[in-house]
Amino acid sequence: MPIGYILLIVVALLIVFGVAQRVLDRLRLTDRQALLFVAAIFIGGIIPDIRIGRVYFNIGGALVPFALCVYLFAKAGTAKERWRAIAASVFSGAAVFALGHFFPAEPGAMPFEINYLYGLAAGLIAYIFGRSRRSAFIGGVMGVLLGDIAQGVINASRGLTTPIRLGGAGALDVVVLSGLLAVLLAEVIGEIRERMQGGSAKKEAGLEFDDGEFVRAKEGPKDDDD
Amino acid sequence: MTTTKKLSALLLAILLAAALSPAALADDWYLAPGGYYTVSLPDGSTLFTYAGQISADDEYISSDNKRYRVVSVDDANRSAVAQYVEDVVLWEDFDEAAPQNVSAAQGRKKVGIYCSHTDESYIPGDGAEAKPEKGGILDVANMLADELNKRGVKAVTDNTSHVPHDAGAYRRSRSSAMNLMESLQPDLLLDIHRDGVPDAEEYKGSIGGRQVAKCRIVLGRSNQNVKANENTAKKMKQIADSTHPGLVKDIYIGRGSYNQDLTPNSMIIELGTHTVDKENVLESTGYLADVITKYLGVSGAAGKSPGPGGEPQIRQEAQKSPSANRSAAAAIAWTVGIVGAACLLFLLVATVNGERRQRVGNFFREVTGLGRHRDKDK
Repeated sequence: MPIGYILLIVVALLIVFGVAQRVLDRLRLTDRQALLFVAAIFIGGIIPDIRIGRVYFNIGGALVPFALCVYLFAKAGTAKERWRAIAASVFSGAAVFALGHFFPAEPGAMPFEINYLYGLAAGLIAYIFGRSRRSAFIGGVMGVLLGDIAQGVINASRGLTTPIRLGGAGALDVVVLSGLLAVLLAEVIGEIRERMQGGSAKKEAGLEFDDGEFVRAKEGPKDDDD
Repeated sequence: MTTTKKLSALLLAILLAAALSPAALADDWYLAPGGYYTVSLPDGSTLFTYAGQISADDEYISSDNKRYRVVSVDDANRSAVAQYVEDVVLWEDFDEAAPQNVSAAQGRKKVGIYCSHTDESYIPGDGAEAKPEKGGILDVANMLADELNKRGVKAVTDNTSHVPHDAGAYRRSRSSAMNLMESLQPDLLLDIHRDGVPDAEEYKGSIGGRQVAKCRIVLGRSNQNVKANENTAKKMKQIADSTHPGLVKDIYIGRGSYNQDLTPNSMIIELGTHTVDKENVLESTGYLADVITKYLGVSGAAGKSPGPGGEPQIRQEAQKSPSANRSAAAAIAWTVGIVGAACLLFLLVATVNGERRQRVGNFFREVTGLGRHRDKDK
């Protein structure tokens, strides 16, 4: 079974299990909404793509994840978090584009499958920007979509008629994989940091939160939002 | 400058550099001196050459059906050493007179074909080793599909371009592979390429007095279908060895997935190299179609019409071979293992001890109806 299906099944099991509750809370999603999203990815992935000119939109692989990004963006509590999500998306897109150009063309030249690297890069970038699972998901999804769009624009500028297929592999596309891996990475890093800092009480003592989302550390060097 | 600003500046610089770099339309690093790998035996004799990345633990099944494993790699000199492992039995109980229909599915057999590196071309014939967007490799893929269709196999080619020829090519071709899988449900999914070793002699062959290009089967070992795909590749080589000796020169099993995680019975077939005459490559497609047709258990031959009702005759009822069952079991075990490990990891990371026990216990009680549901607030 492809890794994309495995990941979605794991997500569904974690939701059913109740283990993903805290992640869903941070994403402002209920269990049912999350399961509906997973189902929409599966079903949308097998529906024929929507074509506009040379751009093909796969419903499950691109439109459903994008719709969730829009939902998460709209649900963001602060303008600061929205800007962080936008920044995470742009820089994730740059990273996806750069990875495609600067890494070897042969999969065998990489120690691991490059398709996973997009999500990990997006998760790391989003986490650096905002410690936010929401930003991580948005960055993971939008990063791949923006990277594909950027490549399509460059191809068109060079006179190539290569189609732009957004999320073309449906539930198995890197768009979905990237979003899920980004959230997973943010969750793992976040939880590990929490435990290393001695738990949420100690953590929150030195940090400033706004509407449940991290803003800045109260002491120490200021970040660029000041 | 804060850390975030530094990171932002670095990423912007990477983006600009990538955008301004020349289009990567050809994977032409192999044209540089020493630009391909030479794999040798411990005694120094050359085993094979390969215009892709060689990694330790990669495996190779030679033309005389011996398995070798790469034990050391020198990337600076693009060389590697492989050791003999064992003689390979390609297909247990192979009956040359009547090959088994290894696919359990009845009805007309289907093959999906696409090209991840759509720019790949042949210098004798196309005039260049790579062409922007639509390389000569697409002609080869379409010819192979035509030959299969003549033999009663339904073959469909996805001619979508996946340029540039960079690390994103396989990500882009994943869409094409999925489209073929969803629309066709193929019994075999082929990604057609050509090699990049400069010596044409490695791929020149002759069948029935006609000049042809030899083929190499390439499998990715970084996915759960590797054993199933290896079984398929070995069986196809067995058929090729018995019907058109020399056509399939070897099988290479390297690091990477190559989208072969999408389905078992998927593989890369490299037809010739960029220095082989394209006409010879096109000639090979008919013989390769013979091999594939026999592997799928279809008796139709080129130029002959299928049986009554427009459906080709199936020689035998499908039988699941023991090796195919073992491969399926391995894939299932791999899948279950990954799912379980991922759930366990998340459970360990995202919960604390008491909560963990409670959630596992509650889930068990809800599913089985046994025991009393506990709430930690009580």
